[in-house]
Amino acid sequence: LTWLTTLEGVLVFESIEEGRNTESTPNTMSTITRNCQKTFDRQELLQRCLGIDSFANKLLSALASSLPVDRLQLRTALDQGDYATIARGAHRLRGSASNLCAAPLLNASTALEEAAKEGSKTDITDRWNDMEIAIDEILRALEAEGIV
Amino acid sequence: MPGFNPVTKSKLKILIVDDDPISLELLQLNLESFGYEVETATDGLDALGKIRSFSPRIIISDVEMPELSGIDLCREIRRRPATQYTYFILLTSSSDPDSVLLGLDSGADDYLAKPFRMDELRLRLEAGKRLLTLEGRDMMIFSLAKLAESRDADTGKHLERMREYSKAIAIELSESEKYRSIIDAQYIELIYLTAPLHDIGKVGIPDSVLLKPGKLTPEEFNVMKRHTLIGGETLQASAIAHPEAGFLKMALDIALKHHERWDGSGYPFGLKGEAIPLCARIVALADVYDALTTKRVYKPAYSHDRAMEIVREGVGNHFDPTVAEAFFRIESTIREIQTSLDEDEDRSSDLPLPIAGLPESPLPLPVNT
Repeated sequence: LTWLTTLEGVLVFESIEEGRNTESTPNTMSTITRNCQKTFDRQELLQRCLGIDSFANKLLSALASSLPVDRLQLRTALDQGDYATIARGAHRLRGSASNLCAAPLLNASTALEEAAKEGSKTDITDRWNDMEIAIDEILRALEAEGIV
Repeated sequence: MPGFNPVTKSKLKILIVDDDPISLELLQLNLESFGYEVETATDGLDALGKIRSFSPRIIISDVEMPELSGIDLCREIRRRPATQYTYFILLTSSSDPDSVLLGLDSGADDYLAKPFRMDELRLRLEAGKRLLTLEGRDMMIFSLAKLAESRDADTGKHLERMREYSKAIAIELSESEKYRSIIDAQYIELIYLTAPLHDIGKVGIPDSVLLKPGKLTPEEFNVMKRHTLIGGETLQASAIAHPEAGFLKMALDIALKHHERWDGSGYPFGLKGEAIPLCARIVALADVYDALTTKRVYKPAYSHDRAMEIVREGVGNHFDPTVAEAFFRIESTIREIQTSLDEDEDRSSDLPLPIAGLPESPLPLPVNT
């Protein structure tokens, strides 16, 4: 189990190796959460973009451009022990990931934000590693889609 | 109708505040598709600047932002008199229930936990619009009615009786085959609320004419007639500025057209028959009956019977026959309202006094006519 995070008050256990999720209370999961199981869910995103494909691509492209910058800023903040900046940066990324239906990035940024707010250096380091994996994963997926 | 265009609704303005540009863009796209005019700000401080230039009626703000958080922004907005009636929705974090409590405590009207569905946001905005409309409506009507009252020496309980008469006639008409589908509970409530605004335009009539104790000259009467246009212009401007306030359309119809006559001989446009809005036809009758049964500086108070007689003479020329029939059917209710809100103890004259110099008005009508 790679991530343990809270989405709409529901615990979600994510298994990267097996590519499946185990939900603790499946009946209470929202449509959004159910659909957010891929690196990013283009169908769900397209629906949120009113079916405008070019708009969805524009948002994905914006994410592809900002992610390397965000990664650098978060890494710098981590080196400096600036937890407030980490929490803010992770929170902002969580918003993007949520809107783009990018579940792994959403889970990783949520976990990092919570760890930064709690101020536990060990937890932050662990969560940062997960975050790096999630960033790499979505950048690869965007590249495969021809977005990057 | 020169100078009067139909009210064209402008869009309700929403300001979105979020430091995540992707969230901003996606929200903007969806809100614009819902029919709103949208502006964006990237944090609380940026939002305060945009509020000054954009004047949003609704603000949707993320909680956690640099510079000024959504909660601090909400507190600041509630503190400022110019913005305290803005509807505020906070986008809270589902993993942080404390932010919901903090947000509501800061004065937010509603919250949405992220991630949220756009159709849920649309429904919550509809609820917000309804609340804004009700709050704004009651405040505006009360203020305007008081303003109208302050400029009219004759009124007393006139406004109160007027709306009771108008409501009673509307209720009676709502039971008729012809108007059953038009007059519903909301229509009755609106006419009750907006009938007192019929003479709001008198605020623009000079004292020398409005408060003149004797008869008006034809020139003065022409000045007095302008109160319909002044009232119409005022309410039209309000209707454009507050498109969510649908009640202003009825208020505008009443203020502008309650002196029109069924046969086309009224003012300001000389509209005829059903070209005159129904609400204006109802209020016209209520206004005349009340003017007849109360003492004015230019006439004594007539008895109910004499007033009914004069109204009967006006059916088909001054008054809509259908509205008048409804009025006659509820005569006992009208009399009850008149008695319970009466303020003239010396109701003695049953003789119609000639109104000199006013050939346009054969009946002893309101506004010194």
